[in-house]
Order: sequence, then C-alpha cells, then structure tokens
Amino acid sequence: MLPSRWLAVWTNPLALVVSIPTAPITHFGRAARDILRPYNQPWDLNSPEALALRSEVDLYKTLYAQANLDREFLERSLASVGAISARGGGPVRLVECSIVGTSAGTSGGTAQLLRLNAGSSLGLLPGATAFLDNDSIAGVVGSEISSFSAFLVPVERLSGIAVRLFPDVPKSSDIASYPGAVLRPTGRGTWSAEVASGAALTIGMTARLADERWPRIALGARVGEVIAIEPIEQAPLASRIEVRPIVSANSISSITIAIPESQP
Amino acid sequence: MNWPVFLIASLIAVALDGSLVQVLRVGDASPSLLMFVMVYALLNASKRTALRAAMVAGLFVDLLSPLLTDADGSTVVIVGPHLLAFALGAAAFLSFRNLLYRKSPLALAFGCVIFALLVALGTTTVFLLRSMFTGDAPWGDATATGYLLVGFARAGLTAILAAFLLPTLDRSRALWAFEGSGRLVGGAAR
Repeated sequence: MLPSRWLAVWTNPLALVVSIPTAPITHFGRAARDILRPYNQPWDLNSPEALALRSEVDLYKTLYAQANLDREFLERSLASVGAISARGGGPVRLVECSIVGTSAGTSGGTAQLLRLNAGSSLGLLPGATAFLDNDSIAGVVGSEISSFSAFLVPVERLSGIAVRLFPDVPKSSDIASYPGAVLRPTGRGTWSAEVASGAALTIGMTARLADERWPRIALGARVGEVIAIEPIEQAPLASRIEVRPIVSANSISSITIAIPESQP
Repeated sequence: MNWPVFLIASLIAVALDGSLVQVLRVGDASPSLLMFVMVYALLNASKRTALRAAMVAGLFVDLLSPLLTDADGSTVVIVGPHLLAFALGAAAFLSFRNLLYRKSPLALAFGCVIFALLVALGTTTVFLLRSMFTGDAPWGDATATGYLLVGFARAGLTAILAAFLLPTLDRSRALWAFEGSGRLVGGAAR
C-alpha cells in the first residue's frame, strides 16, 4: 500500500542485484524452452523461400508506408525545419539482443515483461523501440535498465498507440485516404479502436504505427492486424475494430532495438 | 534447515519458473517450481523456519516481478504482494501439516494445491487493494478474476508437477539438514 515511487529507490536496485545470479539460469531455460516447445506460428509457412519472400514483401510494404507517413509529417511541419530534424530524424544505433526470460511471479492473462540480455553498457535507453524482422514492433525498453539487462515491455501491453490502417495492397499514395485509429487494449491480448472514416474497412488490414510520439524510425512499422469489425449503433458512420498484435511476446527469442544517437 | 541450500534452490526455481517451466504451460497458466520447493520446505522444516523461508521466497518473486506502472513502459518493483501471500499460504499450511505424510507425493501435491490457492488469493487481494489507490495492477487491462483463475490453474499444475518431482528432490534431503530429520522416520509431519 505504500507509495511505490518512494520504495522504488531501493527496491529496483535490489531487484537488479537478485536478477544477476538468475540470469544464466533463465538464459539456459529460455533456450531449452524454445527447443522443447517452440512457439507455434498461427500461419502455415511451408518453405524457407516462402518465409523469406513474405518477409521481403512486408519489408518493402513497410518502407513504402514509412515513406508516405514521413512525407505527410514533413509537409505538415514544413515551416519548422529544425523541429523536423529533431523529431527522431537523427541517426540511430541498432542493438541485437536476446530474450533470456520473463518477469517472475504469478501474473497471467496478459503478456509478462521480457528480460533482455543487454543493458546500459550497450547504450540501451528507456523507451527505445524494439523491432522483430525489421518491420514489426515488438515493444519498448522499460524504464529499469541495469548494466547488462533490461526489461522489454511487449507491444501488446502498450496503450494509446496511434496507427493508420492499410489494406493488403495499398491503392493510393495519398496517406490521408487511409483511416487512422488509436488502439486501446481489450484485456484479451488484442486492441480495440473506434474508426470514424468513410474508407472501407476490411478484416486483414494492417495497422501501421503513425504516432508522432514514437521515434521516426518506428513510423510505418507493423503493429497489428484487423481481425474483427463491428458497427457502432450510436454512431452509424463509425466502426469498432479489434486488432491483433503482429508480434506475440511468447514468440520472441531475439529482437533488434533502435537507439536514437544523440545529436552532436 | 540449511539456509544456503534453500536460497540456492529458490533462486534456481524462480529463474526456471520464468523460462524452462513454461514448456508445461497450459493456456496462460504454468506450474511453479518455487511453490514446489516452498511446500517441500514447509512440510519438513520447523514452523518458525518454514514461515521465514516462505517470506524469503515471496520476496524473491516480488523482486523479479516488476510492475508496469504506465503505458510508456515505466516499471517499478513492489515488495510485498507475494511476500504477504506466501506468508499467508505458509501460515495456513503449517496449521494442518501434521495431518500430512512428509514423504508422500500425494500429500505434497495436496499441500501445493492449498498453498498455491492461498498465494493466488493473497496476491490478487493485495494487488486489488493496491490498484484502488494507484491503478497499477499486474493484470493490466484484464480483470482480477482472470488473474485469480490463472492462479488457481497454476495450483493444479504445480500439484501434478510436485507429485512427479518429489522423489528427485527428496534425494537431496541430507543437504537440507531439516531439524530432527535424523531422528524421525517417514511419517506424519511434526
């Protein structure tokens, strides 16, 4: 019941100390788990070639969406070039690291925090974006970072993410023609959002990040996939959608983290 | 009880709970090695030592379970919920352990069910009370009921695991140096 902000001054460092001896065991356990019970992909990919092709297509779709979103933001703030260059436009450094465990405890129902085998010694910063397969957002780095480990908050735990919904094959280069939405967790591992747009919504649309609060490198990256659409009785022109995360916390074994480099 | 052995076993158990044991996951619930080790200690150690050991085990879980406090990824370590819940489970377990046979896998499994149920109830209650003041809870945007049900499922899975693992852990009984274990034969716990 005590104010946790005060306790955190000593509990967080103490937790980091306790996590040191457990790190090798969790690393071994995680590797063994991945061998014994690998995560079952919900889709059926038959061959490595198909996997590579799909990955490549997704990557180019992401690059296309990223370019369009980037152009939209640039046009909107053309009057302030300095602000544009400061908004995540600087260089980034990429750090590849592995998931060596999850937060302990009895939490269930929602994804646990994931422990990374990289920390401040590699330059990790709170809020840095973690990617999977170059174009899917896996989460953000949590606030507690030790020298050699950190926690990753899975993307499905995040709330208030602004996205744009793209069909499988984008038909227009006008980014404004694609509906936007703000994702809120449903508590079932998915998000819901209310979309007020004249554009047609279809199941399978890809939700791509369009949130200016995130680093620019994350713009256009895949966040989720629309799995359900239902009308809202009170608002005939709006629809409520349900979005499933592209990346499941259970399926991650290694990720790439983009750390914005400080400007000289 | 040999405390270094207990501490090492607890740390290994809590580390494996977050990794390897998830191989046995059913839905969102997975068994807990730490609870198995804890119930083994509760069944054999003296009452005062067992209660202290339960609080230490709960402290380990608390320290390795940071709580997400904000949507931007801020985390904080809260010492208390699991510590209190483990103490509650241990106190209740110690009140009836005389009825159990120490070396029986079924007794250990039964003990695991009771202990894990009480831990789930205790943890959920503390987090629920806390969330009324701060809004932070480990179940995120899900419900406390779902969190509790996962804890109940964990109790059953832990009991099954414990029944199978007891003979293995019991081979290390000499290392644990439980009080009076040299004088007593297998039978009802003291």
